[in-house]
Amino acid sequence: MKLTTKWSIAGMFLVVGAAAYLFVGLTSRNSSAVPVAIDETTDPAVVTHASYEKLYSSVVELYQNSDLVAEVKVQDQETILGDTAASVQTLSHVLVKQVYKGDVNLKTVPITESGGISDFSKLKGNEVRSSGHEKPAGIEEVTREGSPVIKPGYSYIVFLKDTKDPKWGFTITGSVQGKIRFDEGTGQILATVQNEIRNETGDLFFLQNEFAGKDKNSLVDEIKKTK
Amino acid sequence: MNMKVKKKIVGILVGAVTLSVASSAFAYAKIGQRLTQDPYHLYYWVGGVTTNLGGYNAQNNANLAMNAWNSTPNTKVYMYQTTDQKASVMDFHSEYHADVNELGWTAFYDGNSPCDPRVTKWSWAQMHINSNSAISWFNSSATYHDPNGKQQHVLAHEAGHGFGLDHIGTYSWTANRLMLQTSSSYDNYGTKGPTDDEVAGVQEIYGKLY
Repeated sequence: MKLTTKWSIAGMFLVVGAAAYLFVGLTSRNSSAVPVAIDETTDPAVVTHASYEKLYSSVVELYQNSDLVAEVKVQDQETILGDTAASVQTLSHVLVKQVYKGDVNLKTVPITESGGISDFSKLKGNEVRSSGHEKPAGIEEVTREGSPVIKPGYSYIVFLKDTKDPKWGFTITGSVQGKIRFDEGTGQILATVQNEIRNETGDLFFLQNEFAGKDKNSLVDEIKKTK
Repeated sequence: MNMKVKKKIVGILVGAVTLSVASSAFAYAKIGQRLTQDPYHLYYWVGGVTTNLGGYNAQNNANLAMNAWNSTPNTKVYMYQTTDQKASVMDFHSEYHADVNELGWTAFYDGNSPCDPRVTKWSWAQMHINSNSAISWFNSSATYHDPNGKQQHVLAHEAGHGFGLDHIGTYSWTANRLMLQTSSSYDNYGTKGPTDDEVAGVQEIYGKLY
């Protein structure tokens, strides 16, 4: 068989293989099955969608772009309502259990996230619509991309950015990315975003896709490697 | 036709299939549901946007974003600005959120209550721009640096969600699409409105005009 013929055949196999990889890897968007999904939402939940300046796809990137990386436990939180039913932020006060990057002397820090429980009866705005109704009724949990905010009583490993504003404290690196819950008793990492949403959002929730179901030390080891 | 030519033809065909598969894998994505009415000759409202947002004319940028959508060929997207919020099905707001990484967000309403757009059609949508967002940030490698252009991009992106389009691609994909998860298509291409991909998306959701 001539050399050019061999190269042509090899090239065709390469192209077919690449096509198969692309088709399976990309059309399925996330082929890795995550064994654990915890539904943290007790109120009806709605999904809002956002546009971000920066997102990340590895623990290294989250670590490098964070001011504080720590294990925390949420003590309490307050909801900050805006003018509209879906305009809600949550300010959580967390106990710092272990610092992997940042000030090791921190005991408690505030973390502010977009989303949270919206009690419509407390809205400041007026949602008059063509139907003539005013404020909506009820309580709903507003999530960003299906990711609920951190919840009191639960423990998380968080990657945080300092807002430099004592009112807001820290925000989550990558907005919805730099937080992952673990069971304090078993140490198992838990997914908090529904499987179907994680499957549809590519690598947005890569942290949960890679580590949910595993022991938290698997993530801690990754963090320590980046130091 | 000799064997050499046949193999070359097969190789070209396989390559063409690969490219078409790859491009379709990165095509538009739909949130799930849609506006209850086709956004054709309906109204949008920009009264919730602060006129001067950090030195940028945010209301003008919202109008430019909607003009970009109105200019899409053969789509059922054509909306008029109104000062009557009750008549609007696309409301634009600005609001201060602590997370500067979040440039804007969209919420969906069925009547007066927020709804889950994956399973419920919405009668109107609410697009927000974060007045605290790092509009003036730009990656050091960014080609385009006009904060007004970036703001228009964000508003057009949120309007895309309001029409029913979801994010596409991975965070790191640098293709020229309005509905990427980040605003990188503005940074790299100066994109301030829908591309052919988003046009195809709304054509599928609402049908073509002709």
